[in-house]
Amino acid sequence: MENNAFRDRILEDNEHEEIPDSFVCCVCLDLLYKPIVLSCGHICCFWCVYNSMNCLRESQCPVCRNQYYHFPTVCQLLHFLLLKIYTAAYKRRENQTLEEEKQSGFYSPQFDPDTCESQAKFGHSGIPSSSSNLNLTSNSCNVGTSECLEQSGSAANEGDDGTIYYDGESDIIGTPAKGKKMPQEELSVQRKLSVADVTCTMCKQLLFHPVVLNCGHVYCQTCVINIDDEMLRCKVCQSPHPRGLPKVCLELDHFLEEQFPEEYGQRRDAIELKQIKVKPDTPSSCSLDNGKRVENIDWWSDPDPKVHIGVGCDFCGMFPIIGDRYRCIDCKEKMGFDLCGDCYASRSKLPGRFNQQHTSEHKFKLVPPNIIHNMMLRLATAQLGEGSIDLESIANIEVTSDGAALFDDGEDNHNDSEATN
Amino acid sequence: MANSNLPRRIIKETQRLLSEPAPGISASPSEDNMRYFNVMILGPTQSPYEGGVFKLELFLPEEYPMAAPKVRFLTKIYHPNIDKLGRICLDILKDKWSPALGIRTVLLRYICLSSFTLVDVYLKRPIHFLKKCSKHQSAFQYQPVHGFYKM
Repeated sequence: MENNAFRDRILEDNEHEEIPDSFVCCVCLDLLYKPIVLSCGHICCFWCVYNSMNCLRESQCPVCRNQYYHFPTVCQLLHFLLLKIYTAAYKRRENQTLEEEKQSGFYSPQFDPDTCESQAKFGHSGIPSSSSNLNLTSNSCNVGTSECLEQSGSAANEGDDGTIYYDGESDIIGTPAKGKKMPQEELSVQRKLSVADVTCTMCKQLLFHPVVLNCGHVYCQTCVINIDDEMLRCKVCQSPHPRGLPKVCLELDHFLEEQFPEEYGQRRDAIELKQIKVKPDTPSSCSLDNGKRVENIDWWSDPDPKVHIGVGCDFCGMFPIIGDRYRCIDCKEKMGFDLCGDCYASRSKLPGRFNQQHTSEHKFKLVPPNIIHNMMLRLATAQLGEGSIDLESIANIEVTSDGAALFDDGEDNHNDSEATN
Repeated sequence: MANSNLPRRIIKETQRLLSEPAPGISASPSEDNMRYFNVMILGPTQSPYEGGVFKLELFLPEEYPMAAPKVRFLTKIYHPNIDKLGRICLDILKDKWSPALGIRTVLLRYICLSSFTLVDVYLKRPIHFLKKCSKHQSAFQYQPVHGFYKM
């Protein structure tokens, strides 16, 4: 009897939020929060991607094990899309994540809904201010009800079972076919969304086969293929996309096809008419790759590697940094601010991967790699096999030689970005 | 409440395991520690383990889902991938672990492991295999039924 009570207690779920599987993170099994789209097209939460990354070598997608070498930026289009559709659930996730961030001392990037640009919104205490709590639902009427539809002037008839029927004359964008039934839940999504929310960065039309670049900007697949640069570079922020063409984000693609069937069909027909031939997925000659990236993957087999374990570049997202590492000496956040050699040379104006208050006036210093630490890790990986190493236990080893700790590189703790969450 | 400080992921997985149990698998969390699961797996049909009931223990470490769950057979079993202490050699519990995997997928992999690993051995040398099974069972005082595990 007690066991049944225990079972019932577990099964009771206070939150009855219907979130489709396409927008559930495969790692935390919750609504995607600050979603990141990997180069393979799979979506995960910001912190879920960060925590699942391998600080020793290339990381793998949690779903398909596709390898990637750069920590992508949050896809702002998806971020605001989810905020619009699942406002209550997204707010809950925001509060939940903020609590975790306060405990860890690491903060994810904050976004301004007006400019859709990354902005660090810190209060005096170093905690994101309440202004970052976004509210995009300005419509005061009950979304999805016939009352609301009457107010908006759309033609809809309510059936006996309470289901709303459309006569095809409605002004709601992405309406279903004439006389088609539409549940209240789907209708509320329809009311909140418009094509303007899901347009391609380049062609300014509804996204068709959307691909997300490393910088988080979304394009149609055909628009990306038509970019004639020698390397794939975002047209908005000019940041290069590493390692060839990204794959289509199928979850977003299916969602757009469901929500905007007419517009999506028109886009499909238009693209088929053009008969654009898709180029094969070949690695680009990106400056981030330098043609050496394949060698860099197996850095532990290199006798003299310049790898900075557990440290990523805050502009291009290279993780771990291989080559020169420059650290900002003015950024006081626990996460710190680091750049790889290429990004330091280009002095990109891109925002950081985390919620740092970095400015162009800040100064950098060159940080040498910890050779002894790397050697120990190489030995450990050779003995224990790939992926079976406990980083923390190795990092905490202290071999006392003249009273000095082996892994202490004499840097301040408050500015050390090697701390992983 | 027992699950108040647990990650939402573990709560959701537990809820799903209890509400939609996988065929041939029964997994329930311990009342004292909701990271510890008592698991029972039925021997897969058309396999040498058909009719058997195998008890396992499963523990979710603090780092879960970034680290793989710890699983061990409590019921003694004759299997090339399982040692005398019940520890299982399975790729997804070691270097092939992914945070997208979960308790359900791990347990289903065990069923696959027991279904296919020994099929060839069993078909090629059934007498040898059954003798081994019987010897193994009698050593651990289980009642052999047609040379298979039965509890």
